[in-house]
Amino acid sequence: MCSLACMAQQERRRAERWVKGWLLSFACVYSAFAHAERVAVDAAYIPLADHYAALVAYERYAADMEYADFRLHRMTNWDVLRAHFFEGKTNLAFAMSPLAMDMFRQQPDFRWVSLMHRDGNALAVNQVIVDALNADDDLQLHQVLESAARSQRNPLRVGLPHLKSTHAVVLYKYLQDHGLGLALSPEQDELFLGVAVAPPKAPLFLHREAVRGVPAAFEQSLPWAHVVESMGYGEAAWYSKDVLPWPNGHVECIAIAKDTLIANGEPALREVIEAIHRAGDDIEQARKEGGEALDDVVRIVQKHIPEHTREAIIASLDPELAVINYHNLNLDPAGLEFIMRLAVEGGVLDGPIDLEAFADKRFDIHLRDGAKSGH
Amino acid sequence: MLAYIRSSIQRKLAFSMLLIGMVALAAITWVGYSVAQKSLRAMAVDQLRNEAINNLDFVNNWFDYRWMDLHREVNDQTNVEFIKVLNHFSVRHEGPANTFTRSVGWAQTVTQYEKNLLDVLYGYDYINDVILVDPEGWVVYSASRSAMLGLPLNSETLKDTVFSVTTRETLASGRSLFSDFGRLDPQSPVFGYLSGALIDEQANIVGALVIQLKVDRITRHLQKSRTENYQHYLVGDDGTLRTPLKGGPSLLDTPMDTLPVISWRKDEVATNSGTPIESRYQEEGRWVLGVAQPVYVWNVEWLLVSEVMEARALAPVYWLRKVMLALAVLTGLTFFLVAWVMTRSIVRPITQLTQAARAAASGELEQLEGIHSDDEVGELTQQFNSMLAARKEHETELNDARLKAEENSRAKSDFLACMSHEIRTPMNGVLGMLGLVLHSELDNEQRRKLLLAQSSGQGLLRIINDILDYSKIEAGKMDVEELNFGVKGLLSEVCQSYVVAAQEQGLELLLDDVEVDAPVVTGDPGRLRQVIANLLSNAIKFTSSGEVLVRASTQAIAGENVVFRCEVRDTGIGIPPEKLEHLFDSFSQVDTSTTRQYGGTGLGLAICRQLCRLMGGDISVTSTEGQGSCFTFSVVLGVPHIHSVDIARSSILGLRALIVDDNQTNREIASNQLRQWGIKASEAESGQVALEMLKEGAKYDVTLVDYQMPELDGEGFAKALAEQQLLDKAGAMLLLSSSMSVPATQKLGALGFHGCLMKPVSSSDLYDALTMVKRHSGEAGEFQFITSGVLAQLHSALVETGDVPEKPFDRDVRILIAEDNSVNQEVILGLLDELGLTAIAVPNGAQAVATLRDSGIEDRFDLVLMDCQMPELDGYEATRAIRRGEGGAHHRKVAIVAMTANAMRGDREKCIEAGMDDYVAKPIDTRELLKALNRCLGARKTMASEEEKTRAEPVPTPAASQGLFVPEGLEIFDASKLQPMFHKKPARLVRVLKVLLDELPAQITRIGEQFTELDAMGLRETLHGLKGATANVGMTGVSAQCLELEVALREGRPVSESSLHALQASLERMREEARQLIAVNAVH
Repeated sequence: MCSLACMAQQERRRAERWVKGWLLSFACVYSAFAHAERVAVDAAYIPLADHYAALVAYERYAADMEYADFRLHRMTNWDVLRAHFFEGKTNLAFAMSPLAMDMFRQQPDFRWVSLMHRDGNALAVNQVIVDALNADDDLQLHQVLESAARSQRNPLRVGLPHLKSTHAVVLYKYLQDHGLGLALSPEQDELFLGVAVAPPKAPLFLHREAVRGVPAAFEQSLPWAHVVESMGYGEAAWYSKDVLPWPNGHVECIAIAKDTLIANGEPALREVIEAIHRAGDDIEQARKEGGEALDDVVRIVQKHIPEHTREAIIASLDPELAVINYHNLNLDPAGLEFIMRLAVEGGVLDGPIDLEAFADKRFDIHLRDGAKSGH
Repeated sequence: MLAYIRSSIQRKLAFSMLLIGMVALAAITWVGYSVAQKSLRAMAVDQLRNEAINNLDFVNNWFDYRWMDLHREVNDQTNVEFIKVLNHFSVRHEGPANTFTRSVGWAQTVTQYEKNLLDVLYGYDYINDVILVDPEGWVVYSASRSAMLGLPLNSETLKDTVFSVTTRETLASGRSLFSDFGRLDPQSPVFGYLSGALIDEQANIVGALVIQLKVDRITRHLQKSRTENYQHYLVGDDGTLRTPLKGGPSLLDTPMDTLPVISWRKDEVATNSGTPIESRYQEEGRWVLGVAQPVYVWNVEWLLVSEVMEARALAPVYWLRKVMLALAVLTGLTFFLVAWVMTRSIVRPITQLTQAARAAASGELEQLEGIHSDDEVGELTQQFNSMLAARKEHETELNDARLKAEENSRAKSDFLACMSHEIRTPMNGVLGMLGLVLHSELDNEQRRKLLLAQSSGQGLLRIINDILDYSKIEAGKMDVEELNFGVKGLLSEVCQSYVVAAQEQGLELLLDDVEVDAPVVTGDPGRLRQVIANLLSNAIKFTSSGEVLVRASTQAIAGENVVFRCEVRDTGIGIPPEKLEHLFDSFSQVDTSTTRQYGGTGLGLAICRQLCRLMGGDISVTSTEGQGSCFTFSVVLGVPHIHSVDIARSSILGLRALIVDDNQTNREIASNQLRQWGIKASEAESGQVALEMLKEGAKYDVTLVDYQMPELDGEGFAKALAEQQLLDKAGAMLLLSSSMSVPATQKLGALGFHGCLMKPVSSSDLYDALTMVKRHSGEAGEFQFITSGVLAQLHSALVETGDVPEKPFDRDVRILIAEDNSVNQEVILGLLDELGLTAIAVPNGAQAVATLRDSGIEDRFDLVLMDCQMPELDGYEATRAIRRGEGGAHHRKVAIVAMTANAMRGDREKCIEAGMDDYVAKPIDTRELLKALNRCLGARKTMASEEEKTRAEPVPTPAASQGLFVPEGLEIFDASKLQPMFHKKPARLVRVLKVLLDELPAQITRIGEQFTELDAMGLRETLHGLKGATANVGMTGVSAQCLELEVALREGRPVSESSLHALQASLERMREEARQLIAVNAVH
């Protein structure tokens, strides 16, 4: 049996549900309308320190963007990122420069609009090599690597995030500087063979080989070298900034945007690029200040990439090491040409591309304190 | 080589032993080498076969495991699921098919499923890629992200590749296949592809999994098993290489054309036999041992070839061959050396014996030592030494005998020389006295007997002279002089000297010197004259009737020499053939019987031969008994660098001549000679014939008439011409006579003759006579009758033509004359006076040196005229003394001009060598003296003033002789030969003639004494001085005789008593003419 009060209460509850329903519907409709005014900027990224600036930009500035509906899409690996971008599922992607140039050779429907960072990758060696290095102080790393490679029947495998990566270029340059060669395919007869190893799997790749007593190394973006160190699987042998010295740091990951986005949402894209640049400054500021600022960056990163440990993130952003930097993210054609030349020389890239056609300098950003600016 | 070996026992033994040893060694070496070669070849083939089997096992085994690898992957359900998902997304892919591999679905699927295949890729070093192909034939996955990803199998890039073909077949049939090795494009590496079908639970083929294999493993294994000598390679069914081969074509390129490959491709290699096929074949000219066997890799057949170069496989054998060869050579050499040493020990004594025998043969009879052996050789040596000793003893005896004989021979020669000299001395006495007696009052009987005695004495003297010459030749002391002389003159002179003898025997003596082209030659005229005279003498002696012809010629040879050939042909008794061979031997005579008709020593021809050989020639003879002989000799003569004087001043070319002579030879000689000069000559064998010719109208410029002709002689012929008024047609007539009894010249001139020449007439005399005839033809006035004397004068006059130098000298010039002959002193003083010079004369060189020494600087002499032959100190020594300063330091460089009458070649050099500055020949010619003075006194010469020049007398010419009275009928004196100094100076001539007359008796006495004492040297010097003295004053008749006698003495010819008497007679005549000249010119 149900009383009147009970019925009134039911009626009130029904009205409340109706009002709530209407309010919700209105909110949804409003929201949808409001979003329909901004251009969707779907950015594909890889969970690497390389793309921390995009994460920070998204967290700190996306909500306030006037023209851009900035959305992040995490990719599992570079091939997936490339496939998404090729298919147009994302119209903005953060890709390693050789990979981006290779994509441009295959499907030139996008332009280079920004850098994502400079420097930022490192060679990590497993414990077998570390032990060999420690056993003889007179030995240099390249001598140990060469000795290790010659001691086994097969080439010494070095894990790379992708065969068409900046990392492959840096590794090629390092080996070339010491008279050694890098093969990127089994058919090439060199002492070292670059193999594709997904960055998250790279630490365990080193560890597994070490357990077997096989020397191994990888050249990956940060923080994986630091992850290896933090997990005790090996050590970071060198950083790319030392192998490829370049003013303000060598070109690494770059932002590429579909021509359709550039054509239809230039302000939105500029807004996103500016946000990334600003986020880069924020990270640089935070790594310099440390404390809460840095904690906030760590929080943002871990929100998107929980597998990046705090220690690894902080280590990657260690201001003293300065192995990666997020300053000067405007286009650096000379820096990219330098990478391209080495990539072609080392077989990473099948051939050069037209950098003038590739670069779109309209998105160079000149930040002023508290203000946006552009061309 | 064989002869060299056969020439020595040692070499024969050594080489025989070497040959035997080497044959044996070679046989052993060859057998050993053959066995080793076969063995090693078998070993090489065995090793090759084993390696081939091992390689075959490896290849089969390796591909078996790859079969297992493939099947594990195609049976892996993850891979099946992988391809199915990809197929799923592929079907739903909205874009172009080739963009599927860029799609998100593809990327996500690959991310999810590829780990397994990546492990396969990186887990095997021989895997280059793992590929998934969907049922539609699209390459939907490549573990190494190769370029073929996203391409269909039938795309341009892939459609004909082994990968595409094999994969399509797998997709179609479901079979697992091996693609063989191949390339995706010409630039890509070589890979093999293992394809297997991916089949789902419903047994549907959902795709293919293809493993891309690298060929390194196979290649490395085959290369690893390849040693330095062995090599292994795989060949595909197209014949191209599947594994690389050093030096071979590149993989999959040019088909191999080796024997096993060709055989295999022709299916000649048995398949599945399991036994490698062995073969031996050539590759690029080198022998190769090969083993070939097929290899079956699933569905593919290859040929595995294993090879070894035979030379390398058999290298040990070749090394062994070299070693054995070296050992054989070494052993052979050792064998040879041992044999050599052994045989040497045997042969050496024999060799020593041989050398000793050879030495003994050449006169060395030393005992052979050093052979100490008790065997047969020792015995032989002992006997040899005994023989040597005996021979040495015998030879000593022989040598002693020889020395004794030589000594005797030398003593004989010395004796002969001595005796001949000793005999000559009394013989000259006898002959001289006979001559003197013959000049005394004698009745006819006495004169006949004395003449016989004189003739016998002269014959004996000739024999003695022959013996003397022979002795000289035997002793090698005969010297040959080198003087310039005229050949034709010599021939003429010799022939003339035998004219009388020939005439006495009624012989015609003919001279043919037409072929003598060298007028002047260098040689020994005396010896040449001796040879000709000997032959001529013999010819006349052995010819009772007919003629004797002397025919001479010269022929130029190399080195500015001529060969003078002369033949003396007679019509005498001839020489039997058996005597010809030894005719020129010493003491050889044709008739050696005691009753022989002709006398002689038998040395004449031997001497002739020796003389001819001394003069570079030889002598020979041809003869027909009863018909005559012909002696021919030749000598080599030089040609001096002087030009003969061409006395011809008018051409005789074109003259017409008639030769009238009964002697055919004479006519031929004359005719040839005339034709050679361009004269048209006609011949007439008698005067009558000539008359007939003239009567018939023939007309001649000159007619040569023989004096002695039968029926109508020359004189009669002339008379007949005159009578028949044919003299004009005959032209100028020249009488040629071999008789001394020709009419006087006046008479001949009256008969119409223009000249008379004595036969034999030399070509030069004939030429001169014709020239004179030509020159005077048509001239009015008295014609000079031509005789031999006139021709001689003409020749002398023409020779002496030349410009007269004119150089007056400073009158302060002082000249010293060193001349032993007082006449010559006067002559020279007169000559110098003519030149305005004064001089002091001294009689010998010693006084000349003293005079120079005694004169001070102020009155020093400027020039010395030095006679060469003077008593006490001759001109040469005096000059040397002056140059040494013995005549005072101020005279050390005084000009010295030699004066010599020798006029022989080398005299000038001798004078210059002695230190003299110049040279003039005697008799001194004013012009020559003036030239010499000009040359030597050039520095002292001053230019005469114009006044002096006008007063100076012109140097007279031989023609200018005004002021001198010459009586008629002088024979000896010839005014034309008078020295120019006497022209217009009769007083000077008178003074000199007086000196000459004063000295003449002493000269005549000295000549007689020297002749009697056989003092040839002294006589020659006396004649020499007399020659110069008489020539200076124009007594040419005497000077010519003196010259002739001097030449005869110099040439070693005997000077006959008669010639001396003739000289004495001439001297007497000269004395008379000199007195007449003195008388006539003294009055004036």
